[in-house]
Amino acid sequence: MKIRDNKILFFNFLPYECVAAEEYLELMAEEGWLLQSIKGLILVFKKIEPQKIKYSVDVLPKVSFFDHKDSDVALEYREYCRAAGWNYICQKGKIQIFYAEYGKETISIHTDENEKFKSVFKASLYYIGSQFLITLLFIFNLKLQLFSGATDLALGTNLGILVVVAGFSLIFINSIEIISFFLWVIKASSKLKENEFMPYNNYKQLRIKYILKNTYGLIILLLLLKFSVFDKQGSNSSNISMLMIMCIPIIILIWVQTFINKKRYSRKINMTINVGSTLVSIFLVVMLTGGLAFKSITTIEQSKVPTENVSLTLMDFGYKENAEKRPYITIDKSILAERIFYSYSNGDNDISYTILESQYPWVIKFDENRLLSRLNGYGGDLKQVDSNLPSDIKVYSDSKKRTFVLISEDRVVDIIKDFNGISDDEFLNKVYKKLYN
Amino acid sequence: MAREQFQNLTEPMYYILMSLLKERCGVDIMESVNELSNGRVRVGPGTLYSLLGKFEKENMIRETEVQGRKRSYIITDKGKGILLDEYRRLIIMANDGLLYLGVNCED
Repeated sequence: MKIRDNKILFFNFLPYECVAAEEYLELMAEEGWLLQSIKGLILVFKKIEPQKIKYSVDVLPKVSFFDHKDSDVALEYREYCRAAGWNYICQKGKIQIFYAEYGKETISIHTDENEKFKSVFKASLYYIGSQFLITLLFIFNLKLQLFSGATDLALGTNLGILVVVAGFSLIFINSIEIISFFLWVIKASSKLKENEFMPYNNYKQLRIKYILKNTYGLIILLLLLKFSVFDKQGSNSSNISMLMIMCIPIIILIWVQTFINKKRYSRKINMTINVGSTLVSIFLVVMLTGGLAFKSITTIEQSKVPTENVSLTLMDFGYKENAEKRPYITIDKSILAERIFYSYSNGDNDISYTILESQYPWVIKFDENRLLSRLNGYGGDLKQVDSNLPSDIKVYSDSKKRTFVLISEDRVVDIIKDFNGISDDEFLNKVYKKLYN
Repeated sequence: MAREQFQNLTEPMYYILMSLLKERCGVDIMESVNELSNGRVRVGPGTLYSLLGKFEKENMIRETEVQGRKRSYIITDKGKGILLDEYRRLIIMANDGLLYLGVNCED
């Protein structure tokens, strides 16, 4: 993006990709753009005469993430570099960027490859460490979605499928990055031991990596937006509100960083501000999400899906409809399955059920396994029972005959009922008649 | 521990410690190393900064004065001991070379 004599570009790199970043910045200078500042992934360039410029993308492990951009440590270091002929441009975390006019006599910032390796390794480790933590968080999240929680939501909605795919992709991409970092460490240490040149990523490799990563990320993000905002029946406003809530931590983070850089407090105060703002962000997100969930629950009565869209209702078992209460119904369809959820209570009796229907046997098998394991995990103690339904429908029930799970070739039906005036066979026959015919 | 880590000093380490026989700040050390080695050894600011941190941690040098952002250092007795050990090692090596290779500096 160009604004007058400035150009704004997205570019990201880790400390051990410093040589690739230097190559990139030098190419930009040859095209007439000199780096001016970096804010996160955003690089701002200013227009200059196209020329050759030497860049040094350097790491300073002593700088903490909690320091403001002009900490005493960084300022002292920049003095050293200035004396060696380098002009300071900007800082990005532990990375310091300098440049020098081509032909000007400079001393390389690092004249000892071993020391440079240690600095780059230490600084990269922070980023790789945080990537590792994020990967663990996503593994935990996927475990919750696929192995601990209800899988019908993940399979029956495109958003659910996309969240799972995005989670797996993030784990896969992060694992590749972590592994490639450690491969670089092994390769670089062995080269250093042999007194050979330490290899760093070059710009071509970095460019391919980020084009692939960013394109993939953008597609996932657009699909997430599409499915979360426009693809759900009757709850567009709450999805948009949820997206806006998720933006709160980002806005707070940007504001805090700007504030810290402006005020120049000590590392301890900055740390307190960072921790405090993180807690405030978490508190706000939890409170607002909770409020949104409460609003959704209280508006269940106003469910917009008409009762005619479901085949089985409480009234099919002879119970009267309470005019003051409306059922909660959601119908979702994904590329893998269709999911129907119905829940209704007339004040005295209630029933709720979920139907997951799919043409893919593995989807049914997976949902069956996870559902039975989840219900048994909650102490449901579900066992297969004999019934007068066709033999291709397996029926599971708990000892209180309150929960029933019906599994056939193309659907999994999970029912929880709270009424007694009907025998189990009559109940199952009614379910079969309504849902399978 | 320090003796083991700095048993054999690298050229930049040797000249940095030597330049700190006199109290100097970082920028002065870079110039001094250049002068002491007749322009043969140049220490980059990144390398200097990380070595000063290590020397200070191992009590081989100590901070003497802080003026604004400018910090000055001087070698400690421990640092001098390590520097002298290295000097003696180099002399032994040079003498061995002289004895067995039959050459001296003028050749």
